[in-house]
Amino acid sequence: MMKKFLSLTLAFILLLQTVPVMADEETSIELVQKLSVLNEMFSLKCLPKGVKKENLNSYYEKNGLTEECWRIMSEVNEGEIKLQQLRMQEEQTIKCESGCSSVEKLLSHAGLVDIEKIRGQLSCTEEKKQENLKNCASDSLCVLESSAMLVGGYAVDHFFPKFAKPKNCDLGNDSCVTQIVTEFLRALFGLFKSMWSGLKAAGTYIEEKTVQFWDFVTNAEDHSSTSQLALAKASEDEGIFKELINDFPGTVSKIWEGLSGALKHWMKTDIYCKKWSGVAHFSECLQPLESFDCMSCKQFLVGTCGFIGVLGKEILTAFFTGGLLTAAKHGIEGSQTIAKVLKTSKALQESIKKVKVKPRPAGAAATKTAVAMNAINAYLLSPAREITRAAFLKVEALMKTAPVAMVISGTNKTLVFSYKAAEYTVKGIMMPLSNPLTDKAFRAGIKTFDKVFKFGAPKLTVKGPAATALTATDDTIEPLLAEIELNRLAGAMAKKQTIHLEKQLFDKVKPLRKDLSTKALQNEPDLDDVINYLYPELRYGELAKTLPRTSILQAEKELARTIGSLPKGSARTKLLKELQEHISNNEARAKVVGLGQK
Amino acid sequence: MKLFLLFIIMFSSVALADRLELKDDSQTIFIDEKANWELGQNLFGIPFILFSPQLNGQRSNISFTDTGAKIGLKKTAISNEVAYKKMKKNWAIKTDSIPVSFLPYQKYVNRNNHEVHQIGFVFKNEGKVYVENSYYIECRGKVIFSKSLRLDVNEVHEKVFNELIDTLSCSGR
Repeated sequence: MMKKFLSLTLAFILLLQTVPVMADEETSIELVQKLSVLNEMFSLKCLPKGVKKENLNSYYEKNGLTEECWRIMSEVNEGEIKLQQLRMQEEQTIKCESGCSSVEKLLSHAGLVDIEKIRGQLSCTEEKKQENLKNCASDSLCVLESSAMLVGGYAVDHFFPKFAKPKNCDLGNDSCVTQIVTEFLRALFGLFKSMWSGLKAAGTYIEEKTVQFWDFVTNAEDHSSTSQLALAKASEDEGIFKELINDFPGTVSKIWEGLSGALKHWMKTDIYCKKWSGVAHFSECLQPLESFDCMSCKQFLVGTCGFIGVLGKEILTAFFTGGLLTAAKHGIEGSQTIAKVLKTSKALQESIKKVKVKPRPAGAAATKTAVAMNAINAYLLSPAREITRAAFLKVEALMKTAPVAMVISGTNKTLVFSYKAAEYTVKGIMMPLSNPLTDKAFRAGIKTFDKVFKFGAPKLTVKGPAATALTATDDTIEPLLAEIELNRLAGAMAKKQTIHLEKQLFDKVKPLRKDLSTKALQNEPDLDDVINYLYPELRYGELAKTLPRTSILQAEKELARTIGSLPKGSARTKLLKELQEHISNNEARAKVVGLGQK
Repeated sequence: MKLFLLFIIMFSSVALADRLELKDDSQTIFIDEKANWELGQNLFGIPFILFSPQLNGQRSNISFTDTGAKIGLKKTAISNEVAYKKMKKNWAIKTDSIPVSFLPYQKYVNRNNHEVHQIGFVFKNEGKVYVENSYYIECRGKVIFSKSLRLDVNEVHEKVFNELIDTLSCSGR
């Protein structure tokens, strides 16, 4: 059992590093295999043995859902959306049997456009075409804003601090476009640190050289290489460079407009070009498919998002390394220039060949398609998938109806479906969920809790001796401590707020701490606990920088004396040693206290 | 014992050059401050990237990230140049770049006693030649990742990159 668990863990870690799937018969099967492993992982890690569907509700109500299990669940969800798209494309190879003479048939037959979504938009007046061109920038922005708001979290906080729902911009229940926007935003903002999760999780496996080190860091290496190359090129224009460095989120809208305008131009003049001056795709397009101009930029994105989604990573890589500067500088006006970047990208051309479905497959090609279809159908009907799907639906339902909170303990996060902090025996903070989970946000594939949920005021789950002694003196202290923990977790983004709260705590604590630390250290000696709650300036962080040097040194002496006054024994010796290690060779301390003497 | 500890507190200090603090939620990375180099934060999700002044039309850059991984790198296959080359060649295909040469793996200890693992490659993109190096630094039990990128002609920035890595340190609980 342990062996199976270990090999599944390894397979799972490696699979998380894979590039996106393209629609050909082999990769449908690869995606099915990946999803099968993920479902098995979910069963092993996130469900009790032999659990039945009808008992899932009570299981999750009692145990909650860890962020890791949420991540697996989201990976499965995301993979199944792609699988449905592949299935649609596979099915279309069978449908277009009598030729594809009309524009509608041409567009649907190649499997790149979802005709249902753009039906009726393929012929129009010249005025309508001009109107679509004129509105393309605001249209694209509408897609970005709507999708970002559905996704919520970081994207909303940074783009739209003053909440404003775009007018006439309802995308309906379109998770496909949300996925594209999510992919785009993720590439720009997130989650570079989460790309190291494979390396983090690998732990001792990698130390035993059972697998290659470089397999675990490929995504992070690729992302940093692409991003740093894009920024190096963007730095050729000093004005744009300053804009990017000083207000990166602010330039995103323009970058997105440039990309979405370019995608439309590229499809019209390259993918669907009807006549070339020379070799197809390598010469000038003499007859672009004008019907694209009858679609607004929003309709275009909605109608082609299946195709764009499958090629997401390749498109973004080509765009960032070749078109970022143009997009940041010119926005929608740069569409044609950026479209050339997409057109001339050899990597993208190779990927497209695999996506485009050939007409009327026969013989071996038809057999391959049938094999892929069978694999997809077999997966969709498999028992492992059935239980994961049931768990997904149960959790989704609980999110909407139960009182949900997130408990953070160290680096572990768990969603719990009860507010009773007394039930938890691990030290941490608990934050009630204050926004209801929308279907779209859940299905958008965000894999970390704090990027998708909004939470209420935090509380401590379990208090150590220092926190217990402190909170007993004053009711207002516990919420203050919990807020500080929460803001510390938010890191650099919440720096000002953390300093402000730490100062408040410091003012309350200082007159009381000599007595409190004696009590706390006698009960259960824990130096970290005492420093965090009673001597916060000895973290040598931002709070310490606001205090006089003499005050820091005074605090150190006071704490040393308090420890020194404890009864002789191993506890006192251990604490003195820990304090000495905390103070010595500590660059953060040196920065605050400076050189040498008192 | 008490007197000894008070003595330690009074005289504990570390000699400081001008240092730049790259503070994240989990760890603070310290590097030397470089005149006229600018710091960008959270660009493409990368926590810290330092940019040189413009030279030969471009700014060189070097990124710093606390990976959070707690691994003893010398026991891993990080020195496997074949695997690294394969990874870089795949990346080059995706970005229409052409690999020119590879820089061998090397391991050394920096001035603050942290082990550094370094490897790199040279490539051409849109007619320009670039030099990229990856650095994996073991600092207080965690792995810090850094990547430098410059135009081949901007060799003067290589010295700055080396200094930054050589004097890098970290703290945090």
